[in-house]
Amino acid sequence: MKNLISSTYIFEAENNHLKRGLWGHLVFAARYWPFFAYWVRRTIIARYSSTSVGLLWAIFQPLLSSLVYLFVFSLVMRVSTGPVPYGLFIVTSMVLWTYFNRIVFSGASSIITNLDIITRVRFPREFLPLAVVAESLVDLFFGTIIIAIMFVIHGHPLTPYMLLAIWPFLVLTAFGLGLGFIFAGLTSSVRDLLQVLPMLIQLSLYMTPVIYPITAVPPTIQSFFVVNPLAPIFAAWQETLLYGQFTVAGPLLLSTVVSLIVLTLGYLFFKRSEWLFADRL
Amino acid sequence: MTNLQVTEDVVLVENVYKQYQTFKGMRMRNAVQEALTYIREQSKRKTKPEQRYVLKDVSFRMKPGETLGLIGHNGSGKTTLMRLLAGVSLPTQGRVRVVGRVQPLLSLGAGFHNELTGRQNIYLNCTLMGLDMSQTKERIEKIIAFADIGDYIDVPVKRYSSGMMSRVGFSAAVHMNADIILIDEVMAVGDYSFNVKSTAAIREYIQRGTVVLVSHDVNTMERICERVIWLDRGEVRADGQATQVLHEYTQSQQRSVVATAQAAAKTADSKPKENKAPGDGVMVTNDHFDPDVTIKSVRVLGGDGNPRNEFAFNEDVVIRVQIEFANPKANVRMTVGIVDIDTKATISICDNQLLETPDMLHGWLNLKPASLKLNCAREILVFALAWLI
Repeated sequence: MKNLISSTYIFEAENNHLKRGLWGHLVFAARYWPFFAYWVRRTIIARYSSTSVGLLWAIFQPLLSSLVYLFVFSLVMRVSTGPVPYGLFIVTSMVLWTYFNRIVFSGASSIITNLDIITRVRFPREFLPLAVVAESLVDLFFGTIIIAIMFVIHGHPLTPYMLLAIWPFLVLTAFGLGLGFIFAGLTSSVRDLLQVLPMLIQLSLYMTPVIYPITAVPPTIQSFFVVNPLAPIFAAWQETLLYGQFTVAGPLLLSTVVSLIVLTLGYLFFKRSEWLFADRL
Repeated sequence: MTNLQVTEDVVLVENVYKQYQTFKGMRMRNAVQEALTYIREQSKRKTKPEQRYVLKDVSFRMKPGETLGLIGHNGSGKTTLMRLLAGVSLPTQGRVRVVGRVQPLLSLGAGFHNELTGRQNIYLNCTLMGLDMSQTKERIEKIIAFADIGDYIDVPVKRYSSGMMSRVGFSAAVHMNADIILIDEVMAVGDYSFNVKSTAAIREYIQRGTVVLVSHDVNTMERICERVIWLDRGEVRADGQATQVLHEYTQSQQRSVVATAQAAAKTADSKPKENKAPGDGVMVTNDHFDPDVTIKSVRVLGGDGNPRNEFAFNEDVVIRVQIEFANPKANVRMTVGIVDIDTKATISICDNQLLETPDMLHGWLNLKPASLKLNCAREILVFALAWLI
């Protein structure tokens, strides 16, 4: 008999589980890997199966919001995106933003969505926000296909810089997952948070060079964008994919450090508040 | 498990206290603060015992293969205790030790993953219990056959009825290799045939594993469990051999079956008034109903004729209605009934009866019992209507 799941547990008020530490949490979670793998695999299949609108949604969500911003910024406000057409610019940015939006919001709400199982079964709760990331990756994959198609249509040149786009993507994943952990942990105390969260995400969209290029921001204000770890991520994404350059390595490095800290602290905070889920919600 | 010694306790609950944290204010700042305080206290062992505990000093241990029933009123802490055993919640104080794999029964309309089908949920459950794919495939057909929900097994569980869900959940649970299964009220959900089947399955499982069963159903518990713990407001009130504890429990239940028989008389459109004195009726005027008759009082008495408020199961109840009317030659008709205060259901009524001789001091009416299920305490209302013909 393969004994994958730890078979003895001791729960005390003054509990070792809370002091297990980062490594201990990860070791515990690793034992449940088959559970996680099956969960993610099945969810993705269910989502993209022929009877589901999942695939359409994955494609249309970034495209629809792109169309709105295309109207506002290209026809009404006329934002300059340099040599790149705004349509191409916005779709490229929106695909990544949709991914970020989803891992933060669905990650935060994954606890409440799966409350039934949380109040009954013991398993590493971090699987729920993590599963959201895994599912969102599929959406992102379809998103990149759209980007590729757009590149072909516009005859956009391929550059070696495009390979660097993996860096902002990884940093964004870490940052988004960290935020997802923090907000999911907070939902145990502040359930209304999920009502406020979309607004917060929407606000951060405007404070980040997603729908406009960082070059459209007046240089005096640009320095303020340093405090926003999302700004270099999206700037780097756009530069590498669209402009064939990479000038934001310094700020992006800072973002990377910040994101890793957010992810680690977010995870630890989540693990500390996870005992409240079954009690509070 | 092979390395498990027979003498070792599989479940050990030591002086467990559980208190749910509640938020006083709805403001976000408060809530965040409280959450942080709670987490800090948890890690600094500063949590101090306060008043409202869901579980108070609960201790018990279970040997492998034992079958334990948990019984008690709603809110007595049964489900909380189950959550502690399942490992989804921490005790505020004390220690819970569980040796072995625990399989909680997902009862009442909840699967692991609502988007997935019943079959996929069974697979999911198997991975959670540490079975690999070949072991899962070995038993999946057995599980599906036992659940017996036909083609629904390949439909997402969000479309299941609660009965179907509990069938699948139950079937999966008893076929797992879990060392301990926790069953919370699931027996009541399935229909009769499944009930019989599941009871048999549990009995078979008992040979191999340890079971903790929560139920209100005394009969099921008596059939399945060898030992019962009676929880009363979070405390262990009795712990011992099943028949004995269940007997004590039902005794106490029956003691309060017709607890606080609240005597009140009712006229056509006046509300019944409460009366504090035991068994004492309520003075009423029924001018709106028939001005010629006045109900002076309605009293609830024991068989000995003394006013009483509580009645045991199967005990005689005397309802004394005192009426006064002007015309001694008239015939009186009367309705006397007993109504369940909670459900508003009529427990017993004698409707529209003629009191034959007006000069008679005592008229006897026979109350016929309607469907009265005496498995919990009931508060009743006694009412009387009278009119001349």
